[in-house]
Amino acid sequence: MTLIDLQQVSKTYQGRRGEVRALDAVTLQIPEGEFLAVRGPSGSGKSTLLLTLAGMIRPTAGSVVIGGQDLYQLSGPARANYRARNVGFVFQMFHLVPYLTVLENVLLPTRLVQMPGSEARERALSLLERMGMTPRAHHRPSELSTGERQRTAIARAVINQPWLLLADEPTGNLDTDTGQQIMDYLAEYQQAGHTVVVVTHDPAVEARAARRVQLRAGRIDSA
Amino acid sequence: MSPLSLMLREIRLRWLNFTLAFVALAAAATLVVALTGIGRAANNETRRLMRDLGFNLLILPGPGDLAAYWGSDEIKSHMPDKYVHKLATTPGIGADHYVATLQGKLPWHGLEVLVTGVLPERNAVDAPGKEPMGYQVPRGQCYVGFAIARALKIKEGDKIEVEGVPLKVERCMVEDGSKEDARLYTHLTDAQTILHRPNEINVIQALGCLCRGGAIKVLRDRIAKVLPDTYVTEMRNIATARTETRHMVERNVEFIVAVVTGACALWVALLAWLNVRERRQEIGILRALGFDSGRMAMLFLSRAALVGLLGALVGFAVGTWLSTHYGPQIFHITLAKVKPEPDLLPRVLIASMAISMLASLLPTMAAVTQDPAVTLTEE
Repeated sequence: MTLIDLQQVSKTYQGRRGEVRALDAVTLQIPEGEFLAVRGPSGSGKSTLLLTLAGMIRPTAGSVVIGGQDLYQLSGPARANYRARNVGFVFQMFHLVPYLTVLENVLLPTRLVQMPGSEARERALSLLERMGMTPRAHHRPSELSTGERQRTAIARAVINQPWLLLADEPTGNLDTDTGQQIMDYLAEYQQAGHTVVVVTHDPAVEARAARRVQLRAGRIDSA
Repeated sequence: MSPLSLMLREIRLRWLNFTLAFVALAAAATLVVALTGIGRAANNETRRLMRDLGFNLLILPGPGDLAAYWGSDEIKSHMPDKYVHKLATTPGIGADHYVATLQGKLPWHGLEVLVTGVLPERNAVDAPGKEPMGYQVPRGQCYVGFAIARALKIKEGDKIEVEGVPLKVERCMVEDGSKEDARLYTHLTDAQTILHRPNEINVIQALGCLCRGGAIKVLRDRIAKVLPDTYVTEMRNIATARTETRHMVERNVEFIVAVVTGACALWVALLAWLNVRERRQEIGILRALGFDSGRMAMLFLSRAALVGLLGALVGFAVGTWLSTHYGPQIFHITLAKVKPEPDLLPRVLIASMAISMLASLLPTMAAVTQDPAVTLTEE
């Protein structure tokens, strides 16, 4: 069943040297529970596609329908609420909140869905244990290795059990072994029935995906 | 993780930015509180000093024989002494310190003495309890001007007789270098006997309280309604010096407060910009996690409110200490009036928080409207 339906989605930025077309009439369907890899050279529009799926970049043209609802017909707060409940994000640069501990970073999204404190804490600790991060629960991000930061970011991304997990080059800054662990977890998440979309350059990551999409100059080359 | 906890954690990480904003607001609040306290004391002090310049209003009988008053110190026309009571008991005149006066020249022991009888000062009904600013001569006593005392070798405690009225010399006045040196001050009743003018006066001296902007015309109109057969004149130099000096003190305080407030707001705004710049990625990730604009704005504005609150509290305490500690050393006459001003606290609190939040408003808008896609894709 198609969960995400992008129809003729274009996004144009006004750059200093004129218009930059980041997405050019992209049409893409993503079924529920799929593991999709989006690849392409730098500047091909991969991250823009991901952020468009997250409801963070309004397309210049086209529609993004998720679960039958046109995402960009929703108001700003409604889209923020959609993100809080349905979308998990993992970034190449981790983007942990620097003044919060590992546990607090993981707990942060639970606040937005009014999850009871005891349940949130229990879930966070369980996730940290699954990620092998329990000994680091009360450390700040600056005290962690890059692999530990990414594992924390993944725990934060999935704590609300979103049905859509978006990952932008999740292994880009990691060594091979750590990258492998991260990919194991993403695969496990998808096998639990969730949809995972990963933007990557890494052939090892692509190999894990059920389907691969190639973006070039904002257009889909192959799907 | 509550928004308050999130804010406090952020402050703990970026304590320098918070401290710099706090210090600026505390310094501004200190200065405002100290200046307001000291400014009020300065105003009182100036008022007292300016009051010592003397009365600035003369209310004369009839059409006002100004030429006679200024030329020969004698006014031939008179008015009933009960006029002063009528004036003092009428509210809303805009003058105070009414002194019924009868003055006239009298040859005495080869000198031409200016006999001046004064009734104890009457305060206006709407300004009771003020200290008298002129002489208060009891009946049977007199104050002798320097030139008279010197010429006739009169000393304090001597007994003299003027036109059959016995008077005890209560005070020999110091040299003034003006007509005061030729005056003989007595109680009004004694002067009325000496000058053979029972129940009459020829001038009411007063202190006009109205500030600039056609004050004399307003006063004339008001007094004319109570005493239609009188003429009001203003001793403009004294009146102008008085009002201008008081306004100058007020303007100085207002100017300094405005400059300090403006500079402080600018500084807080700059720090808020820096804070937003420093937090670009954090803002991006919070947006990605689902923080909406309202939550984002609350994070930044509550931080601004907190720094404003703390700055005001500390500033109020330090400013109050400064004004009560140093104020009395500066203002010797009105030192008892330099007191803590608790009524300032709520105003300083509101102003400090408002300045801090307003200064942070634009940076907050920038944070709220910042495109998270840009910062989240930055490396």
